[in-house]
Amino acid sequence: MLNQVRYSGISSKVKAMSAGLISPSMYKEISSISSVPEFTAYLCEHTPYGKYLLQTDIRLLHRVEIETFLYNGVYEDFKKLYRFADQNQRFYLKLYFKIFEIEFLKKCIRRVMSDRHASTTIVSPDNFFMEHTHLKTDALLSAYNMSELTELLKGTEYHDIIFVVFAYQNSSPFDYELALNLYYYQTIWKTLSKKCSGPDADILTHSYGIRIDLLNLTSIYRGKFHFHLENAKVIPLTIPCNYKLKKSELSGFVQCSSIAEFNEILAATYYGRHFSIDNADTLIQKYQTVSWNTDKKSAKNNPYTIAAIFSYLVDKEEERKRLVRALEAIRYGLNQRQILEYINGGSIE
Amino acid sequence: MIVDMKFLTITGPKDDIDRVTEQYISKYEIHLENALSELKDVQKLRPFVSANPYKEPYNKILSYEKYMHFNKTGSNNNAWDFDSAIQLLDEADKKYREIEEQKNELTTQLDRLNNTATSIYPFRVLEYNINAILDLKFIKYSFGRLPAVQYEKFVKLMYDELDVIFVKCEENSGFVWGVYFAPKTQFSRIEAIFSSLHFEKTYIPHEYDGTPFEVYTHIQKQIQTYRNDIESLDKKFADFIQSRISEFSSAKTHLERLTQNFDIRKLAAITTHSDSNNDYFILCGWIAAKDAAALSEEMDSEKELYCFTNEPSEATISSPPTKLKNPRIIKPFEMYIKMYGLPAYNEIDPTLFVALTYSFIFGAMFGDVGQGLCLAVGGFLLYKLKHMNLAAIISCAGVFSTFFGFMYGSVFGFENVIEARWLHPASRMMTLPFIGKMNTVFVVAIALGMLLILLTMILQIINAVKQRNIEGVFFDTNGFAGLVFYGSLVLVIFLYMSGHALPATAVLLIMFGIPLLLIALKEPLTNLAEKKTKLIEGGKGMFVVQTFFELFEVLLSYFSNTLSFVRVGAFAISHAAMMEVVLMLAGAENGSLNILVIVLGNIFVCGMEGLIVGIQVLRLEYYEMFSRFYKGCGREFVPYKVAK
Repeated sequence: MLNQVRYSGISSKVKAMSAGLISPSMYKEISSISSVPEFTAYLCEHTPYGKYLLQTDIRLLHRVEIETFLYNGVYEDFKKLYRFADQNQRFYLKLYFKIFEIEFLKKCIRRVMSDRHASTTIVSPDNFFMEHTHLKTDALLSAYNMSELTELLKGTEYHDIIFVVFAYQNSSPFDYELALNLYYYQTIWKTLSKKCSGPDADILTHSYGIRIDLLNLTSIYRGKFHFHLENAKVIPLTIPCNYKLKKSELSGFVQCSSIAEFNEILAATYYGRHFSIDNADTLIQKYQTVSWNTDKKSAKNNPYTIAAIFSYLVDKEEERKRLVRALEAIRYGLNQRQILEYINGGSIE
Repeated sequence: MIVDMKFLTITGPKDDIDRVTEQYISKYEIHLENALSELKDVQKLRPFVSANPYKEPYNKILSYEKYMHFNKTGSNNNAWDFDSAIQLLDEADKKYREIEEQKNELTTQLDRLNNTATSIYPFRVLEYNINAILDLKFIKYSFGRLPAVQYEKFVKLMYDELDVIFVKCEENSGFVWGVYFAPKTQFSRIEAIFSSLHFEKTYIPHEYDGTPFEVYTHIQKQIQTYRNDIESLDKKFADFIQSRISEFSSAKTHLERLTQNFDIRKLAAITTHSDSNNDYFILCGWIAAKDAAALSEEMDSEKELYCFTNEPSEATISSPPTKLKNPRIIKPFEMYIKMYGLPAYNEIDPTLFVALTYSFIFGAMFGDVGQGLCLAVGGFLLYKLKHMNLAAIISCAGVFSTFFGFMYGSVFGFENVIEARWLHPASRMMTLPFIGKMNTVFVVAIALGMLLILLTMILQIINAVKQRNIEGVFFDTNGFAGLVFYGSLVLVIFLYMSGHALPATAVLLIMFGIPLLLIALKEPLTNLAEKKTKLIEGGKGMFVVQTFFELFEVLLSYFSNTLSFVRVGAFAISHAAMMEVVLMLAGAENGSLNILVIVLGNIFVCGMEGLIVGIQVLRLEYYEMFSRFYKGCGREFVPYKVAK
């Protein structure tokens, strides 16, 4: 009952914002667009992105810049929800905020490690970001090398991870980004398991837990059987947490020697049983649908919990990915059927 | 008064310059000018450049200074010369280099040990003898560290199935330090696994025996020994210097003197004699007239040195610097003159004027016997002990304060103890025609102000005569015209206030009109007197407008400057009023006096009033009086300091 009172306001807000999400029929219309300026014009006319796009001259927009706008669309929606939320909800939203922090750090690292770092400009983060982060954004944006960047992270939660990667013999941007991604899941898991209880925590634990498990499975599978890495080399790709997968099962996955063995272990796990995943190949595609469905079910069953907000954010992020794929497909001149398939995450023939 | 100056030029053989400096320039006060810029009309002058040979040895001896501990009994031996100083420095240098070499050797060893210590530190919890580990035949090992994140995952996912033992020694800042052991046959595979987990190897030295902790402590002891050795080397050098401390300190003073005196070359110029091709140096500057005569006489005996003196008017480019000479009683007031600006050479020295007027007006504004005595005595003591000029000024002012205290009849604020010789400032009133009833002190103050202004005008005329400035003498607002105008004004007011009849209008017109006209037309009239062709510069219309506003300003300034002196009366009254308040607070009216309040009140009023009055009088001096006759654009006489 109390939940209903606490969440009724933000729940309605989420419903209102959901009306602005792109519907399947709109994706169909998008797939029939043939040029990038037309795409931008469509966005301006029919979607909430128009509000931000129209502040600049859309004819001059480059593809990279459009993608930045789409990213900012997610960020702006997050800010709206955060400002509307109460203290309790904000606690969970702060966990989500880490995504933006990490994205910012990744940009800085990419800038430092690429040869063209003198010319790339990253937009300075806005006031909201500065208020809620412990990072020294200005200094990080102008760091000259990785050593300086690592120094600047002293005192923040990211220092140890970056420092460790910095100490590798030849660290590449991939190593840093991998470390940050893993850290994101690890830290959320730790927060949820240690500090929280209540329906909100349970829902999020379930949501993130499934993602962590499936990501681990996917990493191990691809590492071993697509990239043919040795067992030990797969370990750095995994997140050090587990939800429904047991330690023995994970250990088995890492050390198994053939795909058949992998599938065998898989069938016996919670996921094999509940989602009828018996083929590891479909696992990768299933990751998206499984996690998305879980969130939707949570939201439907518990409309007055954090599930409502998270489900919206997940949807928005999914929409962003689809639009980026659409933009790419349009830029490279695919036909309508191909574009639609690409948008929906399938591979193109 | 301002000391008379003569312009001095000394010339002699180039190499003689140091002897000249030490023998003659050190004895007299000479304000040296830069010879090159002063003697512009002399041809073929070159700057005296030469590298200072004393600078390097001096710097070197300064660098050894940190080893020297001076005790008061060290003597300065004047019989030092440059060569012995150089010899001493060479010895010290040699010794220093020896010791530095030894230190470097030790430092390299120390660094090596430090590195080993750092690498072994994380493993200190390993309770196993290192040599025993190194001796293992069938098991290979690797010391090192890996990221904590990977370690966690490794332990969870792979550790149990592998033939390896990992001993965790320490965990911090995202890393886990430890050793892993594996059978020889499987070691390469295990090694590959660990390197996939980003494991970094650390090299452990073989020379030591014992557990890592024992090795660590052993190395630390060695480090300490090395540190001690380095310290003792430093001490050795310090002892060496200390043992010959008097020699070093004499050498230092001597070199200091040589270096400083060498700098006289910056002010000298060189010229070559056309006949003999010898180089001669030229030094020039200002010297007091009396000293000039004495110096000339002394230098008479010199064969190669020549010394010329000129009057300031014949000299050159710059005007002479100002050297003030005043009797000891008035000397402290020079501080106020210096604050405003020293008098130019051809101005009169206002120190005496300031001394008298300042003290007098201060006394009038701060009239109290008791407080005045305190100021006088306190200031005098402070001047004797700490030599503060301000204290002497306060003391002087205090004397006049006491005098006025008797005039006003006030002792520490009590007005009924002695009788007022003149009046009580707060109470005595008088009536004037047209203005009405007002305190007598105000009237007296204004009268005093008028007299002072007239006095300053006279001083201005004297200054202008000295400077041969026609405009200043006759047509200036503070010249004869101004004097007549203002004098007439004073006269008229005086006649009116004392009830006498005023002169006729025609007379008034002449007395006021003509001077004003002269003031207005001062520029054209000056040009006429100096026989210049152009009488009015710029257009006639512009001139008229300018003159009109200038006149307006002149009249206003006369009026405001006169009225400004009212503050003298005002502060006299306010002083009395404040003391009345103090007495009231102390309960004088009830009869029972609170001594503490009286003392505190007196101190407070003395301090506050003293400060305010001091500043107010200074303002009167600077603004109302100095602005009428004093420019203060002189420069100070700074004698060249020869280091002894």
